[in-house]
Amino acid sequence: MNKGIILCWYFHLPSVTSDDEIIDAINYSIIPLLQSHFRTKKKFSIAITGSLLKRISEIDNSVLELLRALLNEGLVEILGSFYYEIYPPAVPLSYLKEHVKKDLTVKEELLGERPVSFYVPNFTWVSVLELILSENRYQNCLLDFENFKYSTNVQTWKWSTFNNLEMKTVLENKFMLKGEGNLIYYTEYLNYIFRDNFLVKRFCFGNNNVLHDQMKPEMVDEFVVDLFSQMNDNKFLTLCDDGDRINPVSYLNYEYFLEKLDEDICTFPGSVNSKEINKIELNYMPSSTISKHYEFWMKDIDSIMYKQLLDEVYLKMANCNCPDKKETVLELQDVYFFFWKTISRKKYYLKKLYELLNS
Amino acid sequence: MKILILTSEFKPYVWGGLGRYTNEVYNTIKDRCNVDVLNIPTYSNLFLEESISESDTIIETESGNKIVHFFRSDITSIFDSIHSQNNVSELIENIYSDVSVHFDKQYDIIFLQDYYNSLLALKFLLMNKTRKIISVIHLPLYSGFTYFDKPLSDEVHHYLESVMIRYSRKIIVPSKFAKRAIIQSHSINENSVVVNYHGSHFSEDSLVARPANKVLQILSVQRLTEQKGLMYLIRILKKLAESSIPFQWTIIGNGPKSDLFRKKITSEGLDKFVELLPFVNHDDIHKYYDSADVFISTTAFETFGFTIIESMSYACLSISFNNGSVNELIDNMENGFLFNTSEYDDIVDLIIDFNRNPEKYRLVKTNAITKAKSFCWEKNVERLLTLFEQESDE
Repeated sequence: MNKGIILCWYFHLPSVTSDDEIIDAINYSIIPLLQSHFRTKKKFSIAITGSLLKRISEIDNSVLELLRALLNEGLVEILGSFYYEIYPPAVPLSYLKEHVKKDLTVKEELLGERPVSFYVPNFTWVSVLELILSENRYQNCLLDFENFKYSTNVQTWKWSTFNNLEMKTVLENKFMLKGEGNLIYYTEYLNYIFRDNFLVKRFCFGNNNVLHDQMKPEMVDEFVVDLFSQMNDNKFLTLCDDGDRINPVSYLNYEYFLEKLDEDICTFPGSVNSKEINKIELNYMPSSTISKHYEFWMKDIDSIMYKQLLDEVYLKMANCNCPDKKETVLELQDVYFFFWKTISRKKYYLKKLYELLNS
Repeated sequence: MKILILTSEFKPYVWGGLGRYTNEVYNTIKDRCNVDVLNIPTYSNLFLEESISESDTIIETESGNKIVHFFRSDITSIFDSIHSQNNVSELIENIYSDVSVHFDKQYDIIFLQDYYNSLLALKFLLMNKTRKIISVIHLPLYSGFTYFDKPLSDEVHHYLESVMIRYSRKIIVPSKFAKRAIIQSHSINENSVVVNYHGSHFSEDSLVARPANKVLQILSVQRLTEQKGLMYLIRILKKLAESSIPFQWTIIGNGPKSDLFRKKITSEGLDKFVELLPFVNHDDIHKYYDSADVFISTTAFETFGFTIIESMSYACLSISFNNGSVNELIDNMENGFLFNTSEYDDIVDLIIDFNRNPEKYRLVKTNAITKAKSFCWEKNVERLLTLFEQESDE
């Protein structure tokens, strides 16, 4: 089939979270999500960071058993991601590679599956990733086209985002109109699938959306009608977001949504490899982020300080041969310090970083 | 010892569990120490129909204790003021100057209920109207289903909660689950947080679990909000209606989803199985527990679960989703039953099995009474008073 709906859910919990919180995530989100797809027999994909999957395997084996059962039934595609959730523009090349490799290794070991599609957390993309992923035999990558709005330096074309043509993105030499984000793009290295930002916001973002208003399943009906009205050849409507959008409040509507979908309309990112699908060729995929500025991530002095300390670690690591410390560095690159508003657990990371520098 | 309870719910202006808690605590300690109440209902719009104007102050005295209900139309704008960075200090100043005239003594402790009035409590502290604040957090911000799925206005909630925690000598929470949520989201020493389970009342008549009714009586007591998983109730109801067992389901509660809930039940043709009661006097509610065979809670998240423990104390077959603190009340298959939210169909199977063979569950129901008795208001208040005394000695 050369069209479809790609459902993808992403999970990560930083290493500072307690086992109890992971158990909560398993019981409230992960298991209900897996069970709903098992029940409704609709395909989906899931990206659990390697570090979280490892912890899950140590806490509750039923998740892996469910995943294996879904794999056996051909209902799930396991996606790759980074080993921890990182902000790629702030991570040196060798560590980017390590995150990708380690995540692959964990998934192969625990699930017997080598992912061929990659989920970029926060859809923050650096162009060098294309080469890293290709080197690791990835074929597909999920991104968000809204993030590319400010990714190019074609300043004279900035006006194009505001005119009536509803230009959404300017990739190199390829304009992308609203709706063209649902097409498949490719370079010599990878196929690119773009999440439909508007649909996702309507579907599951925040608290006022199709999934969360439990008392209004008719919103699900309307949403499904709209989805199908947009289904054209070579178009893939991609709905992906953080997996904790599926939780006790949203679960019922999610299962109802799955029941409303035709049996074979749900598909995997991996399916876009098919020659049946017309894809649009790109020469280059520029770096992008959820906000136009790097400063969004490094917006406070605390983050700048932390980044400086990390830079010092990289220098020291380059000068010493201490592979045993690499795992700690990977852990410290987690976006937790840069992204989360609550500061109560930042000390965990700062302390570890300081100890590493002194060791 | 002089205590001021600062709350946003107090009888008769009660919305949910917080109101029940403050009333129970007040009723138990009022004869043992000097306790006044300042009630600033944040849901004041709910009571405006009861001929209360937008700026009423209602003062009662009871056994020498003063109870002040303070209604202000702009009280709910604390959140908006903080959000839009308007002058919330001015708002607090105005409220303080209006209420403080009614409280001319200095208190040993302000017993603050939840975060909403935390800035006002701080004002009392700064004005030396109290020496200490001890707070109860009934519903911590991050006690939802996952830490990372944050509600709207979480920043303001987090800020007010942080103020509460920063200036309180001790934080009291109703469950280990709530304690975990607080410690993980605030920079706080574990020793500052005390778990003090709420209590329940018991019917002496229910010492022995009574036999099941011919028409199975099912009861739910809950606010009609999204948090309480209303659509699960409807799903379970629907499936039960398709089975052949005779049943009647009473749902007691009110809330923003009441009308929608009622319409859904009617549109699904389920109204003949359901009795909806928006409100039952607390003194009369025991009759419903007493006659119920099965109690069902479909809560999506919970930091205690008053109605669950009450149902257990009346030897109902208590069934709940295993969310939040519920597993601190129910030991699965021992004194009640717990299900994951994705297993709501299994709840129906259990009810059908119970209907066919109620004797099989007699021990579970009897154990439920025993478990419920361990949640005792007297114990709760003793612990509270010990804490107050320790703090006022320091």
